[in-house]
Parts: sequence; structure tokens; C-alpha cells
Amino acid sequence: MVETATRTPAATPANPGTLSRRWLLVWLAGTTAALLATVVVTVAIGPAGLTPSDVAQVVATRVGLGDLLGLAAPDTLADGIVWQLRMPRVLTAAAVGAGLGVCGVVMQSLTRNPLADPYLLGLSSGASFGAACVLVLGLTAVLPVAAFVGSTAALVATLALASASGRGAGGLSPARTVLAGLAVSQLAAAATSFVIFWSAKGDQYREILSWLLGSVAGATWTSVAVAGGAVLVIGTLLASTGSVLDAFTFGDTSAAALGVPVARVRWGLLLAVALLTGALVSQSGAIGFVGLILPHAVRQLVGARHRALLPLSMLCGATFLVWADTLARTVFAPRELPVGIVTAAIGAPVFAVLLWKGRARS
Amino acid sequence: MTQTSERSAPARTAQAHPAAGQDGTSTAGLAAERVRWSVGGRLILDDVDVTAPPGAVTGLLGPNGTGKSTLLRLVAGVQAPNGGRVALSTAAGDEDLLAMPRRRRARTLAFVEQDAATELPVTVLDAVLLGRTPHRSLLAGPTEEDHAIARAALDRVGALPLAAREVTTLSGGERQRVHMARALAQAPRVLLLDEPTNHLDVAAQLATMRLVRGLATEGVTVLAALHDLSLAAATCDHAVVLATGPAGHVVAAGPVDEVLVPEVIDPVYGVRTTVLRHPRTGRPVLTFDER
Ligand SMILES: Nc1ncnc2c1ncn2[C@@H]1O[C@H](COP(=O)(O)OP(=O)(O)OP(=O)(O)O)[C@@H](O)[C@H]1O
Ligand SMILES: [Mg+2]
Repeated sequence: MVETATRTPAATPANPGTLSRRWLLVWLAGTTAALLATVVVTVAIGPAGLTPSDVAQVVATRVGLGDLLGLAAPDTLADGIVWQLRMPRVLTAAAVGAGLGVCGVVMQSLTRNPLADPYLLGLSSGASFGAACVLVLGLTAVLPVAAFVGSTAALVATLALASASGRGAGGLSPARTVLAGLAVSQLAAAATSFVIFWSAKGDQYREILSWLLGSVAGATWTSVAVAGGAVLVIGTLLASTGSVLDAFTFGDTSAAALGVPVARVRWGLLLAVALLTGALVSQSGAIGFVGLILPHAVRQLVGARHRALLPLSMLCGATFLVWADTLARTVFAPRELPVGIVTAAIGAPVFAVLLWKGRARS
Repeated sequence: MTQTSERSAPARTAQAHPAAGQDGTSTAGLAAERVRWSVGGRLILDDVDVTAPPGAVTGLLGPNGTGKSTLLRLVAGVQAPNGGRVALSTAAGDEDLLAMPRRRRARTLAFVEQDAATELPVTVLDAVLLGRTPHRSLLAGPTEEDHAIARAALDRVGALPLAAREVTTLSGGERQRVHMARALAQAPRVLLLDEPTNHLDVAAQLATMRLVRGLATEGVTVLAALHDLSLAAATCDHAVVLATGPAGHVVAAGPVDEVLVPEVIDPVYGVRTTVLRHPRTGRPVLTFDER
């Protein structure tokens, strides 16, 4: 051991401070470019035979750059497909994917559970229950509110159950939190089934079922506004909490010893997650696995530092869900799958691998 | 109870510890007064008084379950006591540590828990950088200076070669040093250690205690929960012994030579203690047999 803190360390590799900051910028630029390219390419994919340049032409004209760039007016069919059908759908998928990605990171960090995500902790089921209730009553207008109330109630129930059943010195026990989430999830699912069984009629079945499975097929510009707005405001707020979440690395006690107001941060952030989940579920239904596997994949690539993990999980989540939705509407064309089935088909095996790797490590 | 000892003279070396000059103050003593804590109707700590004189190493001793970790958590302000106060005494006067704003408290006092673990794939350097959290805005990332301080802290505990490793892959002893480095990076004036020699081999134990003594020489006040009484006798200036019966309370406190005697140890631990003298250092060496 060396006696003074001032002695120069024996080996000084390139300062990781600047290195990691530069790498973060490279990653951010790369994933942003990938997302933009994804949007343009996937909007073109489909039976109408459009090209990415058709898409660019429509978008440029719509946002008022057509004259400036000297573009010809796009034909009305292309305009209709791109601007009225596919663009809202792709953008909604992107917003939902981004939101689920960032929610997953925050939940995993606050519960210190690598398996936590809005779906696993009952938030999505709670939101679906809220949505199903108002759909059955025909009150579509208050759907986002009902979804938020449902997700918050589920969150409170999960955390209350987890902390009532025992509190370790490090705060909420990860295993208990997931078990509590599963219980709440099952309860909300049963309640939703009951509501459907008891009162749904005619088309409501389909509508509610698409909620339960998760789908962005009916997305409109209103969906973009709700999901995108929520992601821009709440998602960006959550994405800026990197240093705070880092402080939770070694648990609540250690976060508190680093000067973090643990209780206030935990409840504030979880409430923000519930709010965002509610907004997303109100537009897309409960899409599973995105908030779970995206943060894991990104962590493998860039490490566990939240300042990188949060924004990159948002960007990658957006790209992932857009491609998943594109698969959902093209694989069995002209029939469509709810995107939740696609994310589950991809996510479940990945989840199994993660469990396996976790088992091998412990 | 005597507050001074020939070994606690705060002979501070210049520029030695990053804490020097932090918040524009020098050494600070710690005093917990009539602290009590109960959980589920059970009194765990009953009016405990613990004093850690400035720039000295104070050992917190006592059998398992007497409330050492609990007391450290209360003093660190990460858990609220049911009564009593914790004061930081400086040349400028006394200050209520528990009423201090969290972030300023975290710049004043660092706490190494008994078993802090993570499942996240964080690197050792990132884990140590966490110690800089209270020194910068919560929205900002670590600066160049933070990196330099974190590396110096790692170097000081002899863990610099581990900087790029993931914490989850470390051995228990390596992890213990990383936690110590994190506390050093916090540049505290008061350091609370919960069994800092846990998981360490003999050489590493001695190195850790030498580090602790070095910090005390630089003016850092150390309060450490320890189980190895001979190690405590060799390292600490002062000692506080806790016992239960039924709630945790102080049975003895003062200079280590006066506290670590059979009259105190035997009833508390239920053993028979023999105090020998180390032939070279002259420090007490304690051996035990069953009664
Ligand atoms: N949250 C809690 N709930 C219930 N009991 C608790 C809690 N925290 C501490 N205790 C009890 O308080 C007593 C003191 O615990 P503490 O961890 O402070 O002991 P300790 O002196 O550090 O022991 P050790 O030497 O084994 O580390 C123990 O009996 C413990 O069971
Ligand atoms: Mg303990």
C-alpha cells in the first residue's frame, strides 16, 4: 500500500473520463442515426411499394421543406399512406419503445433487480385493467387517466406487498419485489378477465384483447402526441437522473450515505415511471419484454453506468419496437399480429438466457 | 473516560488527505449522545453515548448483535434514531450531524457498510467514483478531478490494478478494499467503518489498519466496529464496548489500554481473557479460553 494519495499511480492509461465521454457521444450519435434510418425505412416497408425517398419526400413536404428543397408534390396515395397511416404508427411504436426502455432501467435500478420492468412489476397489467374498465363503459376519452390510475395502484400494491413481507437492510429485497409484482399482475389480469367476461359485448372483446396483447395498429397522430409527449417530458426527466441512480448501485444505505434522499427519490421516480407507463399503455396496450431485455442488451454493450444506459436504452428501445411492429404487420401479411406477441416471441427466449446466465453466476 | 492519548495527537501532514481544507475546516470529533433505537417494539440501543475524539481511531467493540452496525447507521444518518443526538464538534463549535443537509453530511462523513454488494456489472473505478457523488451536482457526471481522486484512492488501498475489473467478479477481500477506496474518494473528515477487516487475510488486515492509522494522522476521525480485539488493541486509541441485556448499551469506554482488560471483556463475551504483551511493539495481545 502506498502512503500518500498524491503519488502518481504507477500505470496511468488514457484517462477513462474523456474516453468514456467521447464514446458516449459516439454511441448516442450512432443510435440516433439508426433510429432515424429505421423510421424512414420501416415507413416505406409494406404492400404499397414505396421507397425511402418517397417517404422522405412526403415528410419534407409535410413539414414545409418541400419548396425550400425544390421537391415535387408527392402523390396523394403516397401522402395518405405515409402521413396518415404508417408515420403515426411508427412514431407511436418508437415513443412506446423509448418509454419502456427508460422505465425498465429505472425500475431495475431502484428495485436493485435485474429482472424488473413495468410489465413484471404489475404496472402494465394494472394499466390494462384501468383501460379495460373504461373501454367496457365506453368512456374512451378518459382512457389515459384510467391507465395511469391502474398503473399507479398496481405500483403501490406491489411495493406495499414487497415491503410488508420483509425489508432487508439494503432496502426492498429484489426477489420479494418480483414475487409481489407477479401476484399483483395476476390479480389485475384476473380482474380484467372478470370485467370482460361480465360485461364486454360485440367489438369490445377485440378492442380489449388488443390492449392485453399490446398493439400500435390503431395509432393516430393523437397517439403520437400522448405517447411522444409523455416520453419527451417524463422520459427525458428520467434519463437525466443517471448520477442519482448510480448512487443506488450498492443499495439504499449506501445511496443515503452518499447524500441521496433515498425515500424521496425512490417514490418520485417510481411515480414518474407509473405515469409514463400509464400514458404508454393507454396508447399501445401492455407490451412486454421491451423494458426488460433492452436495458440488459445495452448494459452488455456500454456497461452499467446510468448516464449512458438511460439515453441509449431509450434510443435502442425505440428502434427495437419499430422493427418489432414492422415484423408484426408484415410476416403474415395481410394479417397482422399484435406487436406484443412479437416482443414476447423475441423476449421470452432472451429472458430465459438471462436467467440461465444469472444462475451460472450465482 | 480520558479523551486524550499520546497516539491521538493530530499531527497532520500537509496536503495529505483530500479532506484537508474541505468546507474550510480541520478535524472534527464525533459524539453520539443518549441515542436510542427500537424496532418492532424491541429496544436495540438504549441511551448509548459514544465519543470519537478528533483525529483518533476509536474501536466499537462488542459481541454479535449488540447493535454496532445499527449504531453506525444511526450516526451516519442513514437511519433515524428514536431519540438522542449526534454532534460533530469542531474548533468552530458543535453541529447537529443529523440536522445537517444530506449532501454536506456526505461530504463530512463516509460510511463503509458491513456487506455492501451489487449485481450490476459496474467496474471498480466506477464504484469508487460513486464516492464523489456528494461533491458535485447530481445532474453532472464525474470530472477529470474526480477520476484523479478515485484513482488515488484505489492506489492508496492497493487496488489500482483492479480498476477495470467488474465488482461482481472480485474476491471478498478485494471488494472490501474497493469499498474502502470509495469512502476515501468521499474525502471525509469522519470515517465510519463496519468491520473493515472482514474477509481480509492477515497482511491485508494489517495494511488496512495501517491505512486507518495514516488517515487518523492526517486528521480524519475514525469510528470502526471491530471483532478482533488484539487488532483493536494494536490499532485503536480509544475503545467503546457494547453489550446487550436486554438492549445494547455501553459497558466501557476510554483509552484502549484501560478498556481492553479482562474485567471488562470477560463478563461481556463470557470468556476468560489473558492479556499478553507483544514482545516487539509492547501493545496488548489478547487470548481467550472458555470459562
Ligand atoms: N431492521 C431490523 N429489524 C429487526 N431487528 C433488527 C434490525 N436491525 C437490527 N436488528 C437487530 O438489532 C440487533 C443489533 O444488530 P446489529 O446488526 O446492529 O448488530 P452488530 O453488533 O452489528 O452485530 P454483528 O457483530 O453480528 O455485526 C440484532 O439483534 C438484530 O437482529
Ligand atoms: Mg454488524
